[in-house]
Amino acid sequence: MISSSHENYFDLIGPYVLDAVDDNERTTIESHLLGCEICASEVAVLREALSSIAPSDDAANLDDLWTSISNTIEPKQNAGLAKIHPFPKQRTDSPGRQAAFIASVAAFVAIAAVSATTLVIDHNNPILSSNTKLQTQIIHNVANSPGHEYITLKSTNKRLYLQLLIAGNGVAYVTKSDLPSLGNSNTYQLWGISSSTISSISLLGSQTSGQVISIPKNSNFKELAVSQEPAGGSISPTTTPIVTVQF
Amino acid sequence: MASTPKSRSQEKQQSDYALLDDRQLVDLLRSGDELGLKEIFRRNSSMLHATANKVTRSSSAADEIVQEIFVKLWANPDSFDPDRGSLRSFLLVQAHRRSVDIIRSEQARTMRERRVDNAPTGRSASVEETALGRIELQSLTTAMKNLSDDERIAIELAYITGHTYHEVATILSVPDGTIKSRIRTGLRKIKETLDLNQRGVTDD
Ligand SMILES: [Zn+2]
Repeated sequence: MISSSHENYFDLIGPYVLDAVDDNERTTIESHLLGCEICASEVAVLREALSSIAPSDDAANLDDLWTSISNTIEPKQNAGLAKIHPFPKQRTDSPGRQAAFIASVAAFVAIAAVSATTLVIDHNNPILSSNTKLQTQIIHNVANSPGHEYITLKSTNKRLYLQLLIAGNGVAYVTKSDLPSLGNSNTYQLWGISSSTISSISLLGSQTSGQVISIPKNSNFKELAVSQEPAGGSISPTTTPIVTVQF
Repeated sequence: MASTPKSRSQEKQQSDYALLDDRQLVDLLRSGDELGLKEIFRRNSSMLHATANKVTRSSSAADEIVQEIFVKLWANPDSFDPDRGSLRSFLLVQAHRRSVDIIRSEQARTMRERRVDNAPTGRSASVEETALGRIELQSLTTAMKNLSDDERIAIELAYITGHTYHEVATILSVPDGTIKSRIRTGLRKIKETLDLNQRGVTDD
């Protein structure tokens, strides 16, 4: 059993970087890394060092391997939703821990799973944005839940991004974002785009970081997009999306 | 500036890709450009294959691991975050981890079988003997030369054989904490040596 002190994790970073920890330790360290910049950057630094001394077999002829890869990959247009879309992994039988977690999130956040005509969202999320400890706890839970996935929305010039950590149950957390803060009169709004409709998923507030949202179950979104809207949100986007991701 | 003039030959295009950085290449994957993936393969496959081969000691397992990594990267280029490190390091982590998972499950199977028929199969013959036998001391670069033997052996055993630090400690008959700190100190030294070399070359 590992104690929760930072020193104990820091000690394990060397072995972790070498994949020389057992599965339990790996899981524990990875949830610590989500909340600890010191350890996370140490991992990154040591991994870079390790990758510089990785062996390489220059004699190996890997042309056949490339051919095989090239024959395996699908053209992008056909890269089916099921392959990379996290939501189909959704199961009704979620473990108790996860159910409790969702309940606790729901208690603090108005979860928006809305159609284009009903918008009922607490876009300020006051408790979450002021409680980093709770945020850290939530992100740990999401990152430990089955079927979680990171998705990054980007601007067309790739300069701006917004990263979502999405649990298998559709609860999503804005883990990173460099979208600029808006004034009080504006909000960011997340949209899900399927072949025929654009649905509002959630308002993200004037500052996107730290937001917890829920993505509707069984959504067939081909694309997610964030646009800037008047505070309170819009029924459909009124501005060009700032960041997007396609599935 | 990742425009790819259609009039040029494929050869020419591929050589243009050699000038692109990680971020640009991964952007190309997003837009469905297979030549971007080919360039990433050209740069990294030998290193990935050699690492997977060293750990699994199976060229065909290494083939599968490398293929799996590139197919995944193609399907989900956003899994790579250029702000968190190099593409090389990102890919290596996957290759190594997958290799370790494979030999650990192989080891578990071998142990079970061994209880039944007592056959002296590879990995379980003698943990220490086998593990040490797999180390190839000459394989490691000058960046390792500042390490003490203890540090180097701890790192090599942990990285190449798929043993946990706890198993390495058992193999070497030292406390867990000793191995953890040898590994950390060793990795730190490697990093410092690389930093020094880099400074020497780039005159930054
Ligand atoms: Zn830490």
